[in-house]
Amino acid sequence: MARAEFERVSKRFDDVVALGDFTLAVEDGELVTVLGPSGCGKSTLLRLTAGLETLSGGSIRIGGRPIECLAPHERDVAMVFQSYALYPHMTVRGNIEFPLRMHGVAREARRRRVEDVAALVEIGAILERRPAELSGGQRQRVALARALVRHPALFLLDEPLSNVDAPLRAALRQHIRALQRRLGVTTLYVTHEQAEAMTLGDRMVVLEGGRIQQVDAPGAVYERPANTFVAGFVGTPPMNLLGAECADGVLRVGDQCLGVPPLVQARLGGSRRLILGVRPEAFAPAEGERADGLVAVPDPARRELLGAETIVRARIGQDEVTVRLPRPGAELPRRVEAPLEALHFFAAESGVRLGP
Amino acid sequence: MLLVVLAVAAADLLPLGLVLKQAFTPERESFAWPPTWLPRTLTLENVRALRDAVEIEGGLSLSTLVAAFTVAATLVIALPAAWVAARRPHVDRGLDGALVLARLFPTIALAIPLAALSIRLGLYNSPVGTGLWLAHTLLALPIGFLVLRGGFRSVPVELEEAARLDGASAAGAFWRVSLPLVSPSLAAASMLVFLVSWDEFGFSLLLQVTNRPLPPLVYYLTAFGHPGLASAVAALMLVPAVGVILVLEPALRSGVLAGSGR
Repeated sequence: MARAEFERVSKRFDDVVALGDFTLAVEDGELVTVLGPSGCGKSTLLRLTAGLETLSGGSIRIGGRPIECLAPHERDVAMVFQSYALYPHMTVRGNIEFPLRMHGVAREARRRRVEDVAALVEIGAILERRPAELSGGQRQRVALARALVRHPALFLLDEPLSNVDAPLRAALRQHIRALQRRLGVTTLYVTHEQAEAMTLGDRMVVLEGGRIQQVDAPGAVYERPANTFVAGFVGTPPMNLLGAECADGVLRVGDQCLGVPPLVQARLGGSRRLILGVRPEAFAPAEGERADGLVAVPDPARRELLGAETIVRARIGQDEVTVRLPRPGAELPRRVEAPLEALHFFAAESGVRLGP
Repeated sequence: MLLVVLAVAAADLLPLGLVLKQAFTPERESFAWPPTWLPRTLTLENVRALRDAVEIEGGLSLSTLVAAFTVAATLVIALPAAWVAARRPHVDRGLDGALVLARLFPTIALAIPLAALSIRLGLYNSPVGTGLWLAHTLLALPIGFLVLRGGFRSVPVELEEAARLDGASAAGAFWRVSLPLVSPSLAAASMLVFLVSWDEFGFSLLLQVTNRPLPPLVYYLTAFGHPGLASAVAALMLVPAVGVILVLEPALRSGVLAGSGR
């Protein structure tokens, strides 16, 4: 078990920057999820850490020891591949035992450790089978067992659930989380599924274009997205982003005028334009005629009933937003309103969060 | 569909049938006109005559030895080359061209310079066919290489990466993971390379003048007017060839790669 530190890690493939200036410390026993769209550099990060690619710059330390010059097997890092990469010509036991054999563990100790870890991931009954005879979920567990059996200092998971059927995914997610807690192993978990990143991570890293967009607890990333990319990427449906003008402390959105928090005004500097963000779930039916929040008018023709909630498109002046209301079926409110404190403000050019 | 199968079977089996017929009928029947399709008289006289010819045993053992060495030498070179080519596309482009170069010429055109080279190196007409199996390796390399490269390409690179992470050296990952997984290709390559050497005529004729492998022997027997004997040798040549195919065939069909992912 150890702390893993990434310092200005970068990787270029010819002229393409796959990962740039990646700095992060994963605490001992912490599970950090890395979330981003495909091609954002998240798999590159794991491959650099595992030693399957060489760094273009920066350094990686595990337990204080620089590892970027070490061969993969000297790094004390284990990885679960997206494709599982089970050895098809070996039994489940042979697969799990393989790293122990490579590290010269004696036969009796091997047997004991294989059986311990097999019990942990509940595959004790299928040790003598071959991977071809297993279901997707079982293969996934074998891959986990093979990675965990040698007690790595750092555990890397590359989209481990992307090949598992949806119903099984939630159960395996809980299983991985429980296992990681119980073993206290420092873990980096890469995924493009925000549900996984949010539910599994002690902290999450949002990655895009090879650059860190935000690092924070999942709740904080949702509450206070650092820029418009994160705002649009985390949350389903995504946050609504609207262009707005600000003059003399008054914000103009469509035909509405709203107050602007002083902090945002100060950070806005000379610029008048900004981007207003509002989550679909921030809206609630407006009561009465007077309103001091952001008001939108739902279009009854464009609603989707989803059981526990209703998704409906609504107009704010020329703009359209997505609104999420609880309790379907009932009459749609004529107007919906998001309170001022639920609004997010971003700079128009850079997309960086201005406040609150 | 059935017609195609019948046509292929006929094209394959007709010459085979004729060889077998000639091997087990008296030589004068081979010369009969009009030719007969089915044997009128069955006889073992050709086979008996073969047993009396000492050269047959020498030819059989020389051909076997040369084929075995060719398979071994080809695999030793082609396995690492094919592995590197499958994993490093930029190396592949060079290897591809270089290996196929030797097959651009008819073997008989290569046989004369190779014979000259063998004489200079003292490998000419070697009793164990050293010059010949080296020449056969040259012929067989592109085939072995192409078949094995296809095999390595079908092994997901993550399996080797996983092995590296699990503590295997590069050689260890190759030996313990990649090699067992290309066993079908290995079987196919061994089979094809064996047959290349076993049936090769041009080099065998020119590089081994008195220590003769079987194909030149068939040629000499035919040339000296013994179609029955020649066919008996040819029939004898079928036995090891079919044996090798039967031994390696199960490996060709194994689904050894199933189950690594998903």
